Amino acid sequence: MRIPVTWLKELVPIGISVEELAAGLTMAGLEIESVEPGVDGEVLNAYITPNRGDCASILGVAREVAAIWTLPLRLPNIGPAHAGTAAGFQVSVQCPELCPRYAARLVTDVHVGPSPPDMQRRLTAAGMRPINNVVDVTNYVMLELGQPMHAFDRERLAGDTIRVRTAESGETLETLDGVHRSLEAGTLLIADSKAPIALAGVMGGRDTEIGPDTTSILLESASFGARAVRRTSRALGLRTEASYRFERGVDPDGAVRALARVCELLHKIGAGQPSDEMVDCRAAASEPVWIRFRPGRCGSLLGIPMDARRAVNCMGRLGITLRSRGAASEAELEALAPSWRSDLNCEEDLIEETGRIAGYGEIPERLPHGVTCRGGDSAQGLMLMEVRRALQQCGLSEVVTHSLEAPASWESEDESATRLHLRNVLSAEISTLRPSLLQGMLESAAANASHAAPATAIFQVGTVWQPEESLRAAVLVSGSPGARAWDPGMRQRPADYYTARGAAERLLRALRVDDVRFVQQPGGGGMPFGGGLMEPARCAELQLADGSRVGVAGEIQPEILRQMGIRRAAAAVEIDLNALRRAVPAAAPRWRPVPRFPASLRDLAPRLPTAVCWSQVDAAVRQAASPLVERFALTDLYEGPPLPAGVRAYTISFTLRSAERTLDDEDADAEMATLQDALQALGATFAS
Amino acid sequence: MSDETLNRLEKEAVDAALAAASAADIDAVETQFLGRKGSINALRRGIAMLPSEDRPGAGAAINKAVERVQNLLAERRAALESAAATAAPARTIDVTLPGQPMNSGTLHPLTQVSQEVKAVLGGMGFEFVDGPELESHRYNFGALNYPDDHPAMDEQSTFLLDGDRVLRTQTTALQGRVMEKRRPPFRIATIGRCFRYEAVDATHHHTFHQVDVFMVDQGIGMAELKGTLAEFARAMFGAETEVRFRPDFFPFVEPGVDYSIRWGGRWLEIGGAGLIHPNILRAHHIDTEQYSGFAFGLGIERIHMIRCGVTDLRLYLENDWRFLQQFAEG
Repeated sequence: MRIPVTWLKELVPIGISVEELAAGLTMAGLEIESVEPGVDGEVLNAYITPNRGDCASILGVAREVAAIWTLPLRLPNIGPAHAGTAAGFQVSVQCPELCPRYAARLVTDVHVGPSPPDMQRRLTAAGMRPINNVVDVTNYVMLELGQPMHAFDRERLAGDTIRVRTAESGETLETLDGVHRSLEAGTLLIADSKAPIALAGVMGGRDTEIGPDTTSILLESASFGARAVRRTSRALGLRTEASYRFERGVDPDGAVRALARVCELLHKIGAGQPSDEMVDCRAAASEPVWIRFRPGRCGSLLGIPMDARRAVNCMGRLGITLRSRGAASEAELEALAPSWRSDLNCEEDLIEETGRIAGYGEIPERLPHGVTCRGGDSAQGLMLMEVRRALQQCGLSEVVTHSLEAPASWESEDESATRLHLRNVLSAEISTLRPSLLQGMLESAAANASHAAPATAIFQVGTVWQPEESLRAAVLVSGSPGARAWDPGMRQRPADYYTARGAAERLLRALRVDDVRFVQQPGGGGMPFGGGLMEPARCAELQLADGSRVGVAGEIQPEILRQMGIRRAAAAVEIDLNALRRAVPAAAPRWRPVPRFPASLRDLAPRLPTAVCWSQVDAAVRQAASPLVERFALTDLYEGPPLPAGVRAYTISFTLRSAERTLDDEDADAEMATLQDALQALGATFAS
Repeated sequence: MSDETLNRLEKEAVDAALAAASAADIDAVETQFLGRKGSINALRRGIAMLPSEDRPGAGAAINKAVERVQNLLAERRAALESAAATAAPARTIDVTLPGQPMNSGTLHPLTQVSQEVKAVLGGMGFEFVDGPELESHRYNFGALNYPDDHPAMDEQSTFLLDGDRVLRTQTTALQGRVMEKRRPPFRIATIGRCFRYEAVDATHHHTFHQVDVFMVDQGIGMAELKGTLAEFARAMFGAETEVRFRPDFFPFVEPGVDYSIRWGGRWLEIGGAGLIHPNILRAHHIDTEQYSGFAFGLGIERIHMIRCGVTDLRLYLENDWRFLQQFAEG
């Protein structure tokens, strides 16, 4: 809302500078976002919170100024409002619950022309475009008093009765902006004897618009229900100065006064001759609602010392009426909000008002006392941080990508259809909720590659929808961070399945989940989307002991990388943390005594057909090993000449140790012989 | 065996040891003379043929010769090693070359700030909880005292999904979920992602992160809110930070304020706050005569932007490595 300061000063004698005025209003809740120069001096640009429709007028702002600085309010001079039925028309309000008051008055001898330059300047300063004297006067009064009004061309109204009713389905109206609108059944509208002539509280109709030839007008000043106006405005996507005010609440007692003000101004500028009589159709007045108000609570809730006298003073400055409740003392009062403050409904609302007027600068700082709980992060938050730290320690950097994305170009239609789609979004880039973290990470990798990033080594922890909401961790590696080290010995291997798997293993170790299997699936990773990005022959599903799937690790399909513009091979992991969390042990790890006796180190070098995979070798060794085998690891793997095709040579290094004694050669030889037998059973041969 | 043989072999061994120029030469000498099949050791086989009274003397003589040769070999080995260590110009390296890359990853600045916020609020007794990002309309609005069909809704353009679901526009959406389960007193906080259907520019984004803090207890008022906020702000922005309240409107608080911090000589508005609306407390059967509560929220991005002087909100979700690298300390 734009408020010309000169106009404001007509209603309240402001003695302070515009800067002080703007600062004071802002600190009392009416935020002055800027002060702009205008043709008639400065204009305040105010942001009005949705609960303070009363401030959407010069009068409303003047009331605030008067209350804050204790100044007298000078209401505009308004002539008497006559009541009765004007000759020649009636008003019939068929839904008084949506329109508690409807006042109308005829103006004859209308001469449509430009409004006086002073008025035009003010309208322009307040941000409205001058149109003609009749429309300008209604707009002027709307700005001044906050009451939206409308003028119909009397000659173009069919019949003698104005009807306020709801639309039936199929009804249409061409509004002033030239748009033909079909109205939803139930839309609150104004109609003449034949058809709709205006959308109540939003916009008038084209047919009854004031034109150069208009000679008599019917002026409408009504109280339309906030929700009814909002529904119309939202359904039609039509926001106007009128709908803005009605949605936020217009003073129901101001309709008639505003109508009188319009008539007076029209008369004064020679635009027409108002009739003496007015139609005032109003629903039975509702009982005033008195709100309990205990001044003592102001002190405890606001923290500002506030005795009854001070609280009563603040209330009075805002036009709030107070009375004592029965015979009680001033510790317990009842308050009646003025008609323009529909936002004041409970004691806390009133307490806020006393604070606003007293000034929030007086609020002291106190820390809460009383019962203190054990604060800190949630179990989920702690786990996510473990995951982050583990991946960070692998040399991966955290990224945070969008939850909203377009379906990927490589997805099938069926896959895209399983995504959650937003209902009200026009832009494709943010049309669905991500089912995987990897698409956004590939986009980040592609963007960074175009910025000459040395390599991609990133991870993310975040929410996906598949379509249930779940938490995931994902890793994407492309290129190798050490690829350009000056010493070839420092260079790291290019990203492949084993890079991805290494990151997954690091994450699992950090969470102390030790029973996850990496299982190759004939069709690739089973995890939708994350798995769908990967080469089926070069990826694996992560499965818990019970066979449930918790993630996928593998190499990204070269075709997808090509589409993304990523030139280097890439590998990724995606893990469902909700599923994994079930396997995280709750108890702290138990200690084992540190060994006191030396270990014996022995190697075995079996040659096995490539059809035998490492997990089979691993399982055979585990099964055959006695407790003397402390640990074993694959320390070399060779395939190629001079070995025959289809054969791989392994070196498996064993650490043997007893907790009771130093092992001698015989012990170690016996153990190795058992292990060798087990491997031979798998088909292993040993070079002599 | 004769003494001459032993003496000759010992002399040969000594000469060979003195002539050795490397550790490998020493090893060769050791094998040649002292090894299991070495020539000096081979003399032991001749002992059996001596008269029994001569045998101990011959054995001792061989042992002494072996010991002398071994000592000499050890001396030579040490001398060769120290000579190699002191006089080996070929082993000098260029110490100015870069070291082996030891890559540590970085945490995203939003994670770094979130962890700090959690530490500060956790220390003040606030317990963090988590809630869904895809939220029901009821928790996002209705349970927060948003009247149906009210312009307050327009303040938060909402992403809608099928059914009653929305992407939460504020982490405050968690308040209803918590109050359904807990009885006062409680101190709760949450950090998470929020969404508003807004045009993206340097200061607005459709996706952002927010911390929401609320507590309900006896004797909670605006002073306790201001004290808590000021303490929090001083932890995040420095000991000199001041906090200022200004009346504002949010349906879920009454009184409602926005608060600013004094930073670098200016007041910066950073978030909304207020006393939890009595309608919300009553809806959860909390006696408003006995209990009251406060709530405040602020943007995680905003904290980082203020502290590090970042002027473009969009950078936080762009993941440009040239931006993220600047905050690698985490």
